Amino acid sequence: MKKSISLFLALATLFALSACGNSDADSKDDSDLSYVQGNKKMIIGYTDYAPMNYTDENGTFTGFDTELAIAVCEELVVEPDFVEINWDTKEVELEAKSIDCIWNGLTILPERAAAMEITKPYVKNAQVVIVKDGTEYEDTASLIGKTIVAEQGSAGEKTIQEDDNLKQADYVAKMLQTEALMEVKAGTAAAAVLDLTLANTMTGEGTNYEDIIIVDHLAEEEYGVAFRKGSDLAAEVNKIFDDLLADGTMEALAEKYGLDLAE
Amino acid sequence: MAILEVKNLEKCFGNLQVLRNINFSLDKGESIAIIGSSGSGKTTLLRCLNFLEKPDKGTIIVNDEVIFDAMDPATQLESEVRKKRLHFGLIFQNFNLFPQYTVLKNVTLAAELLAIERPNYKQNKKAILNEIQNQGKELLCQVGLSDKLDNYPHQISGGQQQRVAIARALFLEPDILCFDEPTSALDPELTGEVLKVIRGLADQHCTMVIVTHEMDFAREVSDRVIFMDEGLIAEQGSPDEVFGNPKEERTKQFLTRYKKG
Amino acid sequence: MNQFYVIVSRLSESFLLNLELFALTLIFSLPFGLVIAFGSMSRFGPLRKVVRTIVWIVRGTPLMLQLMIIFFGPGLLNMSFSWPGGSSGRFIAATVAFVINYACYFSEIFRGGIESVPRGQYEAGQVLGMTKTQIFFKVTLLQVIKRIIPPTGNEVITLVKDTSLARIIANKEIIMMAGEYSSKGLIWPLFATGLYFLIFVGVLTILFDWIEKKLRYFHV
Repeated sequence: MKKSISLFLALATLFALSACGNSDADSKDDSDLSYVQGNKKMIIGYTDYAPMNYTDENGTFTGFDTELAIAVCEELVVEPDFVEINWDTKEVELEAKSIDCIWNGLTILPERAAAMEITKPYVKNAQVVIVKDGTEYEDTASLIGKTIVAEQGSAGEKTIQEDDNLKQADYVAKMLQTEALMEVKAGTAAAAVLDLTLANTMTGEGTNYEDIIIVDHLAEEEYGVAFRKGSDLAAEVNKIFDDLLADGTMEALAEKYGLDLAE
Repeated sequence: MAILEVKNLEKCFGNLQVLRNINFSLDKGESIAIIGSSGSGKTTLLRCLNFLEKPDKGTIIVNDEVIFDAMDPATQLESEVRKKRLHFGLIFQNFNLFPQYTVLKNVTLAAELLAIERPNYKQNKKAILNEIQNQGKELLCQVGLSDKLDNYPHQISGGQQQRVAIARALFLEPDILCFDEPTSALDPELTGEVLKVIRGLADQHCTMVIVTHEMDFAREVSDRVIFMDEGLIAEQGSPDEVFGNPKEERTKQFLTRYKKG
Repeated sequence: MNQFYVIVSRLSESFLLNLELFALTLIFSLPFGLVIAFGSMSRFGPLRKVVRTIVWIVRGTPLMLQLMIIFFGPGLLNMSFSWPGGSSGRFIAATVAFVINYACYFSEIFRGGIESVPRGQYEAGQVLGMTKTQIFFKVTLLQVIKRIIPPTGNEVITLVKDTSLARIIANKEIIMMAGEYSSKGLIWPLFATGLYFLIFVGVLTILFDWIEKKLRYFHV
């Protein structure tokens, strides 16, 4: 009696594991483009991040990336489905198909390009050093031995790790870029390394961070849209970007949101 | 007439043989006291009678019906065991009253649950429950606790709790009432009230098996005394015989120790 | 000032998600936890071992990780099953992860409570001719409940705060909502979320104290 129950349990486990079969054929062969067009929508992963994706005072969801994505989806003949995600798990979301692309001011980095299919660059960005007004700053050497912060896994963090001087500072990783801002404001960090676009929006006159200033531009970088590795959607979107450049749509959007287009 | 017959009872716990070949019988209306040192198997014997332990060998016969036979699995069916337990009542050393019920409810609970199985329960529910209530009150009066009906176990003394336990066991009118060292967990001042109740039951010719360390009480109340030693009945006889004129060496040793202590 | 009311109303609205997750988790994990408790006390060896292993795994890995495994797992493993789209799929996945996790924690509390009732109580019921079911419901249950109220209260309070972990699979609960403001440079909403949790936990504390008081009429 006990033996047959143990056998049953073993079989049940095997059966459960086999439920992890392929859903339909080998999805690597299938085109990502056909996949989203088949679903009639493209799930776009974003985080609330001005000026790329955010909700304005009227409650409208808007932003540079938002508007650009809507335009691109129109060309692809799919509905844009914006889904707010957790930045920490963006790659997992993409891989698990709970989103079809990451479109949120994503900095193009070699590791990211290796792991995902990224479009050609469409917007330029830089990593900037911000400090509290009045802090002494000449160049990155001024921060040796001081506490500096950046968002975990961000391009800012990478910049710190690669800069000879910043490498010698006391680096603390934060969950969010905005937490990094908080630390500088609170004085618990001497400086932070953040995206130019974020710093432009959030510091200076009229914000909570009036006394924070940008003192240095490092590591110029570019934004791209990321798709699953091997996806044919990236190439398709590149074509559409060319079209939107040619007809001036991109230029108009860039001006509206105060951004620089990539060359 | 023998109301209880125990034949060739044996029980092992792992490698330890606790009961070896126990044989005795009990007549209706008789009270037996079982004495002996710790580990002699007295409690195990009592627990076997109440189906709290399953003997490895032997038979138990109540009212000429074989209610347990180690060789016959038919007598060991779980569904039947429950009914067979009702032949016996058991009073525990540490009372085991139900803490969340009042004294009265402690006494009537089991009866109320058993009443549900009666054929005419649904029609006469109110009357049946009412009758049970009254019976409970009467029993508690008999043990001298009519003023504690609505108290909870933690509000009454150990002696009072044990008296409630006796009433609770009596309610189901068992053929044989068993006591497992009923006063061992009580302060000396409180043992008296419990012994008084047991004495009263003996006067009413209640059939009882009493495991106890109270030697004087055993001598006074019981009709027969069994002395157990290392899983066997070393000696049995009338109280005067066993206490006054013990034949076996072990019995003498045991009694001397008790007289000194 | 208008912004203040807008923020408070959006925070309050997102807290409803925390509360919903809290309520659904309790409704399902409490009975499920009792089933698991009986499984881990089973006299049938293989069942007991399987259940205890599962409980060890679920209690031994971070809830945050379990949320990710449950939500992302089907997609990553190319399973034929997939969560419904949109925010409802994420919420259902979160509920499933929470129910499994908390059922395992509750099962250990229940098991401890049941096993700590003295054997004598059970035996007293037996010698009085009660069935196993009668003994459980009429004798053991209330004693178990009284014993497990303090640790269960603790676990329930932990659950309130754990609900914010659902944001790891992007459920927009109150802390993720407050994050939207801190990402725009406004910090106070994030700290204000503490008030919501504090008040709700306060209500629960009063509730559990009341239950404890109600059961004070007897001692176990």
